[in-house]
Amino acid sequence: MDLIIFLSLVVVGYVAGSIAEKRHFASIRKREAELKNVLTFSARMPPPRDMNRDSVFVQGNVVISVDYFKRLSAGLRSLLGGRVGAYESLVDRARREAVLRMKQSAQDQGATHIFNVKLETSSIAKGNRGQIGSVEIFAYGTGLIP
Amino acid sequence: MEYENPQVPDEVNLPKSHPLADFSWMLLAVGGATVGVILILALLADSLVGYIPFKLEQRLATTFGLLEDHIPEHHGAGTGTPANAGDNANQEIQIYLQSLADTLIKQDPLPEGMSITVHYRDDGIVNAFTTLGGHIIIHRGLVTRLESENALAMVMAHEIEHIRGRHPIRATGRGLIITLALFSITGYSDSSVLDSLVNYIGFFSTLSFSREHELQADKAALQLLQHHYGHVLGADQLFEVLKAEGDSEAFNTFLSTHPLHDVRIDAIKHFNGSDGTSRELVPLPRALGTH
Repeated sequence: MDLIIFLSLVVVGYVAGSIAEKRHFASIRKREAELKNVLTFSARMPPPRDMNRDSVFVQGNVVISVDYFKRLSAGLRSLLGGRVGAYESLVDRARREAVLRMKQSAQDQGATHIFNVKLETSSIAKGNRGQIGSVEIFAYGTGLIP
Repeated sequence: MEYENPQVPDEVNLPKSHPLADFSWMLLAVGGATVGVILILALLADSLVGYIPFKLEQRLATTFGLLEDHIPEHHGAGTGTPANAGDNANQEIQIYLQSLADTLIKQDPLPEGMSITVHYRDDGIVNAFTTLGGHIIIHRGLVTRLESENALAMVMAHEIEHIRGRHPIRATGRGLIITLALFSITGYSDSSVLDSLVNYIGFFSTLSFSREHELQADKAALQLLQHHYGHVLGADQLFEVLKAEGDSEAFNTFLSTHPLHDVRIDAIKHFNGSDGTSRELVPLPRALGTH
């Protein structure tokens, strides 16, 4: 009985996880093209000529959970070593989604440029045994209104 | 402002191989290594465990408290509490079961120092089993479903052969070493999901050992029956009973530590031991028939 539950969790994790990931990447690519005109810079300050523009704080936050299959896959990887592919795509999604949300928030407030862009990550349920972990990425910066 | 954020290639961060392909390779590597280690350890344990004296095994049984629930309370004559009718009947059955075991053992005496104790449990569970220290536990549920003494003798002989083969201590020793080995793998991982996977691999690789023990016990039990009754008629009824009990859970049979019932019934049918003397089933004593 335990085995049936275990196998179904793995299958459900894989199927649901891949569908979610595929859709998410499609949506990310679409929105990245749409928000292309909101520019992001890591520089702390805008060029001197733009110093007296109105500014707003813009931010985007995302939490994405690991699915059962990814967790098992990463667990096997932890024995063998090497690239944890299962988590790489997850972190990539989270980072891009956070930047997109930040850009969206900038656009909503009428900003076209974001300076001093920073990313912060944290993991929820950090490595606790028996808990499905998730990754959080927080993107923030200063939006300039032209 | 004349800046722009060009669209950059985004595939560089993504794994190049398909997640399932990646997963299969890792599963193969980890699974193969686990099975290999377990088989080696199991074989080692199996060959060394035979050197544990039977006396020590009996002591282990007491230390683990394996029989606390199983030994029926004795209402001795000296205590002054009159035993009720049910207890008397159970005592009678227990004595009968012990004498059946003793008779069977006489056909092929156990090695020096080994002894067998039969316990009867008055409940409906359809089962009989052997535990450390030469103790056989037989449940009423199984006994009442059997139609002849021959079938009951098959149960008894099967369990006796488990004890002769030191199967309980072998299984315990093997279980212990495998559990330790699995812990040393899973203890280092931080993933409970991985732990369950490794444990399942361990479970499946030990199944074959248990099944081998069952088949060995079956074979030797048939020989014992053959010596005692001159034929093995009625022995297959035991497995018919077990089959009828377990049919509702076909999947469990697949996972069971015991071989498939059909395989065992076939083995009995092919056991060519008849010497042409009288082939009659011996009925069960009255005390058992009245349940």
